[in-house]
Amino acid sequence: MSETGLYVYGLVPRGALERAPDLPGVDSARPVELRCEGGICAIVSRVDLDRFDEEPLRERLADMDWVERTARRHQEVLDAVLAACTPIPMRLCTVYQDDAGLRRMLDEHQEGLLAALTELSGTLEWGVQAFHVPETPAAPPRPGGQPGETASGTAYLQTRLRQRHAAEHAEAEIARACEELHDALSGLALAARLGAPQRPEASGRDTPMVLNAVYLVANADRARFTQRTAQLGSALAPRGVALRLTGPWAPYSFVPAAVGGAR
Amino acid sequence: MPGLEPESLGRPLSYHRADMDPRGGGPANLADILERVLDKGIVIAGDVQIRLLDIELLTIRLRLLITSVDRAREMGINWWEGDPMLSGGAKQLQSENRELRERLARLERTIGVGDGETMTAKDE
Repeated sequence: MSETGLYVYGLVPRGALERAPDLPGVDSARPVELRCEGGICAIVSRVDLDRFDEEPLRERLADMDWVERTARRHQEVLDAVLAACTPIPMRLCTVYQDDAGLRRMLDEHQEGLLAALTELSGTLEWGVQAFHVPETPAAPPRPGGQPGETASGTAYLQTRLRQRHAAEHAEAEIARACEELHDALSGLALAARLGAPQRPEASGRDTPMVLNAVYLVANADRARFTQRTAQLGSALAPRGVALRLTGPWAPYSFVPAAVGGAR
Repeated sequence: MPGLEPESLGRPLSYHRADMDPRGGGPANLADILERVLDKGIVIAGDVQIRLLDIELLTIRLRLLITSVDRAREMGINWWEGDPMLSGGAKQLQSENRELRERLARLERTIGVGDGETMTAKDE
């Protein structure tokens, strides 16, 4: 039997979960468990240190299939908690050697973590992505103009110029639409952040992503937020913008920097 | 279960992942998950955690893979440039790259293969 360590998915206030989610963990489907210290419980599962110690992990991080599987498991465990409470999500592959090490961490950071848990309590993260759906592109100008016409360099250049102006106008219009969208949704959120848009290969859409935003929304405002997003989606469609709403997520983007978060 | 609508009770929330794309639904997009679990989850080092450098390098690679950098710049989004860890890492990779190319060029000149100067200039 090889030694095991504790892989940590996230932290929740003690008492918020009756029991750990009934889900397989990241390693060999070992069950997810709770480990509590003071006012905080860590959501953990045992992992084989043959596979999850520093050296083997470094090799496995190069294996994208493994990274995907692990990231999805990590995510599913946190998802399962969302109905009961808002967890503080840990970064992928945070591993403690034993209970004592984990308890020491929870003890040392107790105050800051409790403050963060209180601050995030009753909130969830939502993602809104906007895509530019271009209208049917105009046919490229042909140097010959109308069939049978003699080629006219001037006419060709004028057509090109008109097209360029139209494209610039469309781009400005899309940027304006994104700004309005972000303003409207920020108004319903406790906090908002913009990220870089994803490439089409990553987003799975063949139209360009023009906005990649995340919002921290109070659970009480959840319906208002999702309905407003749907409304804005309908309103923006004729302007060439399609929306994608994702969530709810654990508040990854809104954990205070004071406890090692992104905000 | 405070604050959530009744219909979400007792069912896994992943089925509730709202997605207004009629082609969407099902499991969450991998890019959306990686953006979060690699880049945003909190960092309180475990005692067996992979050294931060490793996960950061992976994150840089994934960010480049996931995000459309040119498009982001056009829109004036340049958060990574204000991120000392990330821009530092990226700069380090760039300088390592340059150094390697220069060494290769010198070696090629020494053994008389290829045109080292042109190669260095072209790839910059």
